[in-house]
Amino acid sequence: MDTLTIQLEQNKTALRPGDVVAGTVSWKLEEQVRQVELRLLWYTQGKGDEDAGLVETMTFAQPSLSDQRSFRFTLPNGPYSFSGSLISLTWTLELSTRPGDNCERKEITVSPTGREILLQGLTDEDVKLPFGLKVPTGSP
Amino acid sequence: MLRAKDNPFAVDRIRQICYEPAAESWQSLLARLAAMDYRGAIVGPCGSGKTTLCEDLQTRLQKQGLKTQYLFFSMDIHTTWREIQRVLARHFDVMLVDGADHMAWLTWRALKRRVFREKRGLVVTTHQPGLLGTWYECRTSPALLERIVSRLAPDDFIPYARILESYDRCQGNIRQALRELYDLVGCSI
Repeated sequence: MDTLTIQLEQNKTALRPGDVVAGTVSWKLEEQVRQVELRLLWYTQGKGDEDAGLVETMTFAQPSLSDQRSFRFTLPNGPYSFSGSLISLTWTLELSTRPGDNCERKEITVSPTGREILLQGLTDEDVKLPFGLKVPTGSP
Repeated sequence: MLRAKDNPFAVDRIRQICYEPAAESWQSLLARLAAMDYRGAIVGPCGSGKTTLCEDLQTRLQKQGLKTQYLFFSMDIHTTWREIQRVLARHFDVMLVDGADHMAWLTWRALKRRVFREKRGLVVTTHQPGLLGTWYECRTSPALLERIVSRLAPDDFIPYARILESYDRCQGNIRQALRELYDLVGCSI
C-alpha cells in the first residue's frame, strides 16, 4: 500500500494570512507514478453548493518510489478559515499521485488570529439600529 | 452550534454515497444497458437519485474501458448548442445527459440524431419516460432514506419517526429530506 505523508514545520497548523507554510512531504510507493503533486487549496463544506480555490501547486516529476522533499508556500491574504451552521471554509494541503487515487490531506487554519472564525447567529441585541429604533419582531 | 463541516448531512458527505440499485445488481444493470446498445433513460422524480446513478454509471463505464462525456442541464443551467457541439466533437463511446428534459426540444432532437448517427451510446436522466427507452426507474422509500441516514450519522442519532416525518413532508424527495435533516442536526446542537 502506498504511503503519503505531509509534515509541517513545528507541526504548526494555525497560521495567519501572509505567513509561510513549510514542511516536508514524503512517500513510499509500490509502483512508479508520473508525478507527485502538493496543492495548497481551500474549499467550502455545508448545505449548499461547494466552492474551492487552488492557490498553489508544487510538482515533483518522475519521483522515485520512496523520497522526501521540502516545500514552502506563502499564504495569500484570504479567504479566512471560518465555520457557521450553513457553511465552513477549510484550508488544506493535499498530496497526491498521478496517475492514482492516493491522497493525503493536512488541514490548516488561516485567519488573523490563527483560529477558525466562528460565525454565530445575530440576536436583536447585536443588531443596533440608529436613533433608538428597534428591530421589528413579527406582526404588530 | 454545529459547524457546517461537522454536519453529517453536509453536501460533500452526501456526495460520497453511491446509488443503491433496488432488486438488481450492477452487473445485471450494465448487461441490460449493453443489450440496449448503451441507449436508455434513467427516469424518476426530483431527489430520487437520478444524478447519483448517472455519475456512478459513468465511473463504471469508464472502468469497463468506455470513454464517456457528461452534459448537465437544469432549470438554471442552459448549455448552448455551440457548447454541446464542442462536447460532441470529443471522443466518446457513451454520452451521459443529466437533465435531458430541460433541453429545448429541437436541441434534444439534434443531439440524439448526431449521437445515433455516429453509432454511440446515449444515456439520459429525465423526470418522465419517453425520450429514450427506460433503462432504470429511480424510486425512493422511507427505508432507503433511513439507510442513507444511518450511513451518514450514527444509528441512533435520529429516530426513525423523525426520518419518516421528513420523508413524508418532502414527498419522497430524498435530497430535500437530507437538507431538512441538515437543519435539524445543525440547530439541535
